[in-house]
Amino acid sequence: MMHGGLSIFSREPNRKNSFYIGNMNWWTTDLHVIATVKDHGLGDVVCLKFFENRANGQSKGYCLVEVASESLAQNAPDKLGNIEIHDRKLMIAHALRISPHQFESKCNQAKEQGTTPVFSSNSLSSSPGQLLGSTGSSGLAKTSTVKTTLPGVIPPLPNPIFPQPPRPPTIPGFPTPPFAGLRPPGLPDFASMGLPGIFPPPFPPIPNASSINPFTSRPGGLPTLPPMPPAALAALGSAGAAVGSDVTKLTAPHLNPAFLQDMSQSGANMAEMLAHAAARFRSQTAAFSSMSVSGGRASPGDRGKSLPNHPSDEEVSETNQRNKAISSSAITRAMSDAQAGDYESAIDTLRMAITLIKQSVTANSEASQIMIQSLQDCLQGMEQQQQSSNASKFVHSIAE
Amino acid sequence: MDIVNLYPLSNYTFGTKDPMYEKDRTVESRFNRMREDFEKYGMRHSVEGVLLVHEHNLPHLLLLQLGEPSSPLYLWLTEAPCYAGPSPSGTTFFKLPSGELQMGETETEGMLRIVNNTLGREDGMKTDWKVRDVVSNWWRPNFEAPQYPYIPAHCTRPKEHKRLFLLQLPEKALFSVPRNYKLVAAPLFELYDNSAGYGPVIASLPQVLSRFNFVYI
Repeated sequence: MMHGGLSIFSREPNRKNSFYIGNMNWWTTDLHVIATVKDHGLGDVVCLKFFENRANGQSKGYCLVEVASESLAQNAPDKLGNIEIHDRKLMIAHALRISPHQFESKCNQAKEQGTTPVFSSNSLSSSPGQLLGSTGSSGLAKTSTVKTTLPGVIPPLPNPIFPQPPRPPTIPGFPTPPFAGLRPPGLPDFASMGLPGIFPPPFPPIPNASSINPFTSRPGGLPTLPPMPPAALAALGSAGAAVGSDVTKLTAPHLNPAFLQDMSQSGANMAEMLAHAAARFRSQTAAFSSMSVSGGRASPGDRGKSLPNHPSDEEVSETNQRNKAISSSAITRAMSDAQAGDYESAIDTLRMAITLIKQSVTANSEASQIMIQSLQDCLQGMEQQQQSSNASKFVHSIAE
Repeated sequence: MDIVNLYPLSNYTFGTKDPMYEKDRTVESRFNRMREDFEKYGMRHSVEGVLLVHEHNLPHLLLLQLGEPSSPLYLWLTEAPCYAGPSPSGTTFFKLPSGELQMGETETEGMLRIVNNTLGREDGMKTDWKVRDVVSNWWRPNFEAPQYPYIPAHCTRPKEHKRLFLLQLPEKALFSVPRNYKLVAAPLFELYDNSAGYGPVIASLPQVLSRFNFVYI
């Protein structure tokens, strides 16, 4: 069956009549999207474009859909706003109001803030029955989307041999660790310590004096984390994708050194940054595991420090130097990207640098704060530039 | 029972013939033609030929080396941000004998036509190559450079499907190489783990060819 034919894919969607659909699974296909759009009174899809990781072709979970008219596109948030495809509540935004990059951050935010409930069917503990049999409030819409309108398509069941791509369960208010895909060698230790498979965060929460193992209670019992804007983490995720690493690829269980190698061709400092961050992350989790085993050395008084290990003077100066290198190379890179018109990469670069510096052991120092501030200023400027250039892009396409 | 006879590089002689230019002169025209063809005919089917010889009991892959770094194919591929191929800074670029299948043509017919056009001799005698197994498949989900050895889950309409065929060479042959290319024989170890130098398609050939039982004659 031809849905408007192959012309749907042969050009870029016209933003005026388009809207973004996001927060989808990586395996939600173009046919699913087309059917859903049609079923909810928005007519035929004229043009469709998915956003993917360039490194491996995996869908980022959002796409740009063009429909027949601007008014239909403007109705899309109402018609599709509460719909779920494959148990994921869709995020809809009109294409003129939001840029792809902003949308991607929003989608990542939604995932972190638990629009999917903790340990839902998307988590590690999924069972095949849940996907199809769930009768949630949107069950009707979902089943009609998935079952009746695509009679030939069986909704993907979690394959018992290869279950849902392993991903850390999303916990409300708990930002997804940026290296969600990383499994440092220490992970099996966590499992054996009775942790429910929760992936250690970059800032391991300081255990309360009362509970040695911070994960014995349900996620609600976690102490507050040091402030880290989810957007920064999300941006790190998208920045990681932008530089072609599989850091945010939730299916990848390890950081493939080949990607670091590739990155070294396009910007040595990126690879360096990520490698340093990865190494730091491993040492943090190692420190965390040893801390838990020894019964929790850290006391509540340590709350001021965001990390359980006390950095030595050498570490401090080393980290400061590294941060300086990160921020200056990030700014240089971002500038040249911006000159070339590639605002998305520039913004990603800056965001990632900010996140890395914030994560470092000297994040609270004045020097780091200054660096973060200047990066953020740069970022703001970049975003403004991008908005004005997007506007001019739009004008051009109308003129054609 | 996948036995493949390989002959020494010295069994083969190389001549030249007129240059063979690509259909698309610019990167943009390549994209545009692909889009137009897609609307009319659907997914493009391409075939590429894997031709092997041996030296010192190690298989060597015959590659065409592009003489001019400013050729559209070279530029098109290097434009992709994630391009894991040779860097554009002056080094050259390698490809397999390849082409698009025409309407109604089978893969075998197309492969033979393409390899004869690319390397076949011009003196009326026919080279006796045989098309053997498919060694790999690559798909292009968008009208962009990235291709993957699988169809990404969200994509139901890949834009191009590329198949690589192992070709059995005759014991002796004359290859006529178009003047704008050089023909080189790359040992498998040179390709192994070298996406940076040859791109993911060629660099993965040592792995996919490992299943064959090569006989070094």
